[in-house]
Amino acid sequence: MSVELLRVEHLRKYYPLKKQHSGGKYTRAVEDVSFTIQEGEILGLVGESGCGKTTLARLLVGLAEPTSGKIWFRGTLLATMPESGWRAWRRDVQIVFQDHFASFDPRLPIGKSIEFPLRVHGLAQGRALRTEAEKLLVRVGLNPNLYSRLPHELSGGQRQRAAIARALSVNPVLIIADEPVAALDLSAQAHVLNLFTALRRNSRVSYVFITHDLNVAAYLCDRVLVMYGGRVVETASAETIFDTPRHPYTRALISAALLGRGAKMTEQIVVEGDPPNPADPPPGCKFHPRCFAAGPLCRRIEPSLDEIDGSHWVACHVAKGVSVA
Amino acid sequence: MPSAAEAARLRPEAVLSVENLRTHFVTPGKTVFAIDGVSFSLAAGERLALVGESGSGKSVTAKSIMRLVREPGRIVGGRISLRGDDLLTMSAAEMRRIRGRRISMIFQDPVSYLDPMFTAGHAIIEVLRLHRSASRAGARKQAVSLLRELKVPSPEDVVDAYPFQLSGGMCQRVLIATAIATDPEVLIADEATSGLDVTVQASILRTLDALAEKAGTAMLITTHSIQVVRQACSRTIVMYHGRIVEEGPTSELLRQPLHPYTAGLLSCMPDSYRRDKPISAIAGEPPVPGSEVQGCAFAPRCPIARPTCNELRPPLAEYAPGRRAACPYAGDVRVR
Repeated sequence: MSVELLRVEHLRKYYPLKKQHSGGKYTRAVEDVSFTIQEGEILGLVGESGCGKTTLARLLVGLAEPTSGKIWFRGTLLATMPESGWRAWRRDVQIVFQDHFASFDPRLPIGKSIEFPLRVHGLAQGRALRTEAEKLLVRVGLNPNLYSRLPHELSGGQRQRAAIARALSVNPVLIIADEPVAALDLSAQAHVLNLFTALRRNSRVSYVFITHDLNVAAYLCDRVLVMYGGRVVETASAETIFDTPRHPYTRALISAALLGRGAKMTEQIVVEGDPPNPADPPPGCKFHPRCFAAGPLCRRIEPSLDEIDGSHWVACHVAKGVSVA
Repeated sequence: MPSAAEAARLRPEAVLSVENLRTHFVTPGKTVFAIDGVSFSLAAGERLALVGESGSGKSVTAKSIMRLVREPGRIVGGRISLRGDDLLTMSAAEMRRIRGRRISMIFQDPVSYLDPMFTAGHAIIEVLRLHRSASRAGARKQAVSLLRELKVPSPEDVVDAYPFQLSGGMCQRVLIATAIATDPEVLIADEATSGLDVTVQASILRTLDALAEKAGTAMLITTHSIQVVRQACSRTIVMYHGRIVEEGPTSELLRQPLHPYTAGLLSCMPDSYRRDKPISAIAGEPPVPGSEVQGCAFAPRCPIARPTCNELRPPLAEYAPGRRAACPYAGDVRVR
């Protein structure tokens, strides 16, 4: 029996635009997003720049406040959680960022950065701090003598592993990883992905893994949410998303991802144009200006996210078999 | 093993040939051997990939061809010839007439390569007026038609837009327009699609593809992405630590890599059908970029290295027609 760790319902985040230019309009960064995460699960959030995935990550760790919608963590509604609950929650939920260089104080030895959360949460003191930090370095596959190195003395892959060690230091139950491998070379990416798989095997930590690379998501994640223009356009198990994608946007993403694995050029789906501007999205389905399957209906009416198969949800008229003519 | 010069003679259509190029960064007390003996040639209409990880020397190679390597970087040896014209012996003034006219280059982070104070069209018009002595009105008209050719929606508006009003993909298309405005013989794309979304990347690569096909432009594409190589390039050169470790037709090279590094790189691709297995990552860390290595630079990470690998630098040798690898045990490692 899996235990629900996090539940998100109808989450929205709007940022107001400057009044003189827009007349009080909003950028709809995240629009009506709902999902749950089970204990020990890795949920992939896949999408391109401007799709709202980073805003969603910030909402989940409390770095941004939702405009509307609810987040439950282990059954507690965050909006009404008493102040005393926040300290524990900030220990339970950790984040790893894409920019592994900016994540560390450049003048602080790596080990000191890793023990910082332990000190803040009063989990270790004195000599025990260093021992703990060295143990964490070993746990992420690094040499413990990196403890006294400065961030610039490490390679990108080593720095990102150290960032993961810091996130793990306080024994969190949920780690939000925002594009943790996007800034890494292929060989360093492989090491970090292996680390994530090993951590999953050895503990019950859940992850929200944000990436633009469906290859990575399909390899690592249990379930995948594909986002476009602030909304979830498709969600299913990683296998289902990869083997039978239904949304035209997901299909284009997979076609780009498959190229790395030897698919033939002729099978490639290339969509023209750019992702929508979240401050000025197109009417109807947000993907219709780039979609090869779109019809007049798609330009008028935004499709809702509906279940088409067991646990396979898609927001596309065409995929749902609706005539779009 | 035929030298690059012989190869160029064997393939008379070679537009650009690079021979034993060495670019070093020399500071007091330290020399960084960024590129140490790189040779290849590029034919008309060919799309050649230079693939490698950060610090492998692919970007320095691209910049060396344009002679855009900044101090303390210096091209200390080799020959670069563009249809027989030796680029390395040219004066700065002569070189300025090559750049943007006979060889163009596009970069990563397109937004920062456009002047925020001028419109996107201005960049294209400037190139046409400088290199083609076009009139202002004529250049503008040509800028619009270039953008249309590159599938930019409503090009008339884009010409008058400022860079901040355009997306990254759109800015890169504008830069491609400036690059091809003069019908260059060679176009160098240095990680040109790296910062872009995958769907936008796919569409821009398709544009470049059509360009090479139609205008016969020779393209040198540096990238760290296997996807880009597979989609856009007919031939591939793999670089490691400032040298070429493997070269061959893209499809063959990806299907059956000869060099253990190429095989290792391909094994690093996550595969959703092997979710239960860890990725067979390359062991260890890459060497410090530009450090002096006596033998094979990959030997410390290589699964099939033998003691001699640390002593003797393996030469780039031909294993099959068009396929070269710098490893005496080439072909002994399979992917995964």
